[in-house]
Amino acid sequence: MTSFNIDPLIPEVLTLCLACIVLMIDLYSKNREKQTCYLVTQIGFAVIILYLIGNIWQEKTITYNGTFVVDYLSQILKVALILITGVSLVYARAYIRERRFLRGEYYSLSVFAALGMMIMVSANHMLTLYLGLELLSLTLYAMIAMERNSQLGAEAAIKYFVTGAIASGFLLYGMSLLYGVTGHLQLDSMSDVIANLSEHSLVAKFAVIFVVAGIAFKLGLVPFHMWIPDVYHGAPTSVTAFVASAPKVAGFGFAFRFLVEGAQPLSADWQQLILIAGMLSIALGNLVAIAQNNLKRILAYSGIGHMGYFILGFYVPEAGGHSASMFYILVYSLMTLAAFGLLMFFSRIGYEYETLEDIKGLGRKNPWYALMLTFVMISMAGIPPFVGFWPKLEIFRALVADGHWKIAVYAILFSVIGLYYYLRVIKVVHFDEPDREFLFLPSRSIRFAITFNCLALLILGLIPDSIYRYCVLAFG
Amino acid sequence: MIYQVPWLSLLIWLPIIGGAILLFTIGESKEKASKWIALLIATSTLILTIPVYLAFDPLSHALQFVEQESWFESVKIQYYLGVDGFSLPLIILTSFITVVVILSSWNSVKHRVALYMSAFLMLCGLMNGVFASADAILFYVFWEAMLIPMFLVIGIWGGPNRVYATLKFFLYTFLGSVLMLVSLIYLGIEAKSFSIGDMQRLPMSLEVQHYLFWAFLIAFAVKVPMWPVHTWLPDAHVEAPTGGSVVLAAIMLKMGTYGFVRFSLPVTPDASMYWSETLIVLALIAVVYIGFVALAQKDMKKLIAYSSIAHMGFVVLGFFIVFSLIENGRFDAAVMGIQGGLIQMISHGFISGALFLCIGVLYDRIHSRKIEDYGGVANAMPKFAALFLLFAMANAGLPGTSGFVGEFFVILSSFQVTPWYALLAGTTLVLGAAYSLWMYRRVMFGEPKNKDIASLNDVTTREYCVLVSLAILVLLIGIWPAPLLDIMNASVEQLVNCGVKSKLSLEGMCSE
Repeated sequence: MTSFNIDPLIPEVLTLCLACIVLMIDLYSKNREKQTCYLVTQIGFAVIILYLIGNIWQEKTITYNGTFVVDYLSQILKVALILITGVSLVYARAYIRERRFLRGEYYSLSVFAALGMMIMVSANHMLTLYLGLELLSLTLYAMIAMERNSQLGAEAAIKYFVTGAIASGFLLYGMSLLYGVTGHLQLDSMSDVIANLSEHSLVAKFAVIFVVAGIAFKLGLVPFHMWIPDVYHGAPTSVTAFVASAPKVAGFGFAFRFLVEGAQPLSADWQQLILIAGMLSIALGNLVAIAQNNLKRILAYSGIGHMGYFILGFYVPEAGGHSASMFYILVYSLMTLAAFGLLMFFSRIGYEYETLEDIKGLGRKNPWYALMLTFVMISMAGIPPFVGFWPKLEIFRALVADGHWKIAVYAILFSVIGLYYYLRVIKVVHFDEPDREFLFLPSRSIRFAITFNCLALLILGLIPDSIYRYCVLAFG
Repeated sequence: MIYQVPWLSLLIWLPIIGGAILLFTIGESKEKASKWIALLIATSTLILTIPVYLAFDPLSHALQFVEQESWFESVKIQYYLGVDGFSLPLIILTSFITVVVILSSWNSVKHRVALYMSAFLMLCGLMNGVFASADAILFYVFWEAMLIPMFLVIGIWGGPNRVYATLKFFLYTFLGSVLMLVSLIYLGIEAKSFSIGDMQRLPMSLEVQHYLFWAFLIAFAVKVPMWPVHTWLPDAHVEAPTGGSVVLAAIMLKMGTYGFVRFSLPVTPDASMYWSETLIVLALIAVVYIGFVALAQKDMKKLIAYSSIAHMGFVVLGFFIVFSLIENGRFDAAVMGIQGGLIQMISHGFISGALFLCIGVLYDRIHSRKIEDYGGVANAMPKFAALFLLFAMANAGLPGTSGFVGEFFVILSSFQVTPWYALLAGTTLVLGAAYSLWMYRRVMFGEPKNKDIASLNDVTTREYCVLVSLAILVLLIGIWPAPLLDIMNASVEQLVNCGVKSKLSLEGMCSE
């Protein structure tokens, strides 16, 4: 290392400063609404996004003794991560105020989580990866448990903590084995060493299985999905919206950095695991969601199914699978954010709109937001012209282009089964008679954000290239 | 000058955007305003088809009014529109039926009128999109998107069992079409372009064609619907509001048979030839067996729904007898078979639409669709009785009505394959007359089963105009089908002479 250049790290440094500033403001702010914390967080996010957009790294640069990598992919993912975090805070504000756990820490924890995710997608070293992952996980545990009086919330936090710790254990075990085999922690040099290993490097294969298990835990792929429904259900909806969206994007970055950039020579081994996990997730997610009556659980199982489609892109990298996966995960987080945002929007003091009965006949009483919910559901089901269709198409295209049309048929048939429970939500909203009054009194900013978010699903569906172009560029 | 206006885009987007504006700006409180605006948009769309019809060159089989823009650049999916002799009549039909539907629902829809009207406007635009797409993925987008407004129409304004019917409708048709998506993706990768024309020119082995053919067949057979995947249709028809039934019968079913001439025959000609006998048998089962099923119905809408399945069987028959005719060198008969199928599509659009409107007229007054609840209606509603009779006769295939032309063409050309086909297909004339006229007799004549019938009002001016305009078209095509045939002719001949040639090797293929 000849000279120390801070430039690649500036977004992370800014985020860290922002987290600390928000903490400080919280300490001295007398305002119970924590208006300043909120505003500073959002302005800070806007500044970081502007900085990232203004300083896109075209060249892949590995720096800081090989621990950190900056490239087009990492920049795009960071923009997406901060954007998602920011929007989830817009939705969360009224919700957490009404539930009386509006504290400045909520904002600073979110910023810390964003920092962790930014580190994850920029890591080129196993320790950096792990550092980012743990920073994210620890903040999420705290956020889930923040609603102190909620039993479900506490249960969800414990469950998430225990399973998350096991997953981290898996990851660490796999990483240490890989370090033992290759003598490297740095991902690109590790990849070179593995490529030159003898054919029978059983330990390396063994290690990669542990790593895949850890990643599957974090993404919520079958058979490591058990925590998802309980955590999504138990956590306060504002936190669920966050947990279900941004960390998935970071998880994509994690999987790409580790599996593709670090363990590409072992791809023959991990791709099989990914394929099986993906196919099982598609089946289980879509089938079990049918039996659910709670919207948060429906969305949790649908999320498991979506992760299955998403991960199939890793199986066919030559046909553009990675950009398809990236497209999928970005669109998925946009849809999830809209779905949980609407749930938060419907909920009010002392009452959660969670089950299908709660939203019965919404279309009669509040046609506009019923229509927005319909948009989200149709988009999730993958019906064109909504944006949810295009990443599915891309995944299928990549599968067929690589000769795996049978897998594509399998996946597409389960999407028909999945359609049923999305339609069930629409049915309850539009076709059933309302049996209660709906009183939504949210602020204008939330109404605006929700409407914008849902309409984006339609508008981006009409111009799919607007997102996908960046996904293609990210993988050159 | 006339070619510089994006006519097809206007035909697609005017109703869609109009519907969206109607929904978002007028709101649900102003019922009257939304009806008038919907009518205005639908009529403008219909008027827009006139220049397209006039400027259409009937001597060319090439796509006309082509609009080609890059859309999804990274995967080479284009916004690529164009019409030929197959699609132009269907676009005109769609635009016309939409006006009819909006007029016919004027007073029968009571709640959420703006949403209802905008759903039909959007349906119109999306179905125009299906027929105008020359890019396979664009086609698929319109094909699927169209299910959403229909799902809402049946589910919100439908009858008591509407939820079951609409879910069945959506899941059934979606299940059918997802396999088509995989085929389209495969073809797009092989042809290195998603343009339908390039797919049609792609040589393929027979094995690949088999897979593709079946994937397409499942998608289109569900839509047509062919026996044995027809069961969603009676449920959907019975539960749908009148407007929904009209659009389903008049246009949506045609999308399946349109798929046959656009994809199955030209993209997989060898597999289509291989399976043509099977398809003919399925079509004949639809004609004969479903004809008997229709005879046994007690519900008027169900009866017309089953008769639709039988009539659509004729279209499939007309398309698939082509192969044995070409083998025997009878190109004229082959052309006639396809023409017969196409005329049957248009004619059935008018007749079934009109019959569902007639049932709607009765339902608005008596609130029953059961045949046994009626009787003696003719005394109270003479004007209606005359029009209803005309449509029932046309449904039975009476010469002089449009129903006759298509069926006659198909029977005539199938006679040249084997008289047995013609004989079985010909039973429809008997069965059709039986179920149509028997229903007519029980509903319109005899003793009134219901005390309200005596006090029925005859059709209003609005209903009268709608039914008379349909009657004029039914008679016009029946007496003078030449204008319709002229439009189709070049495309049909191209399909018979070129499109269905074997694709197994490059030599056999047409060079255009």
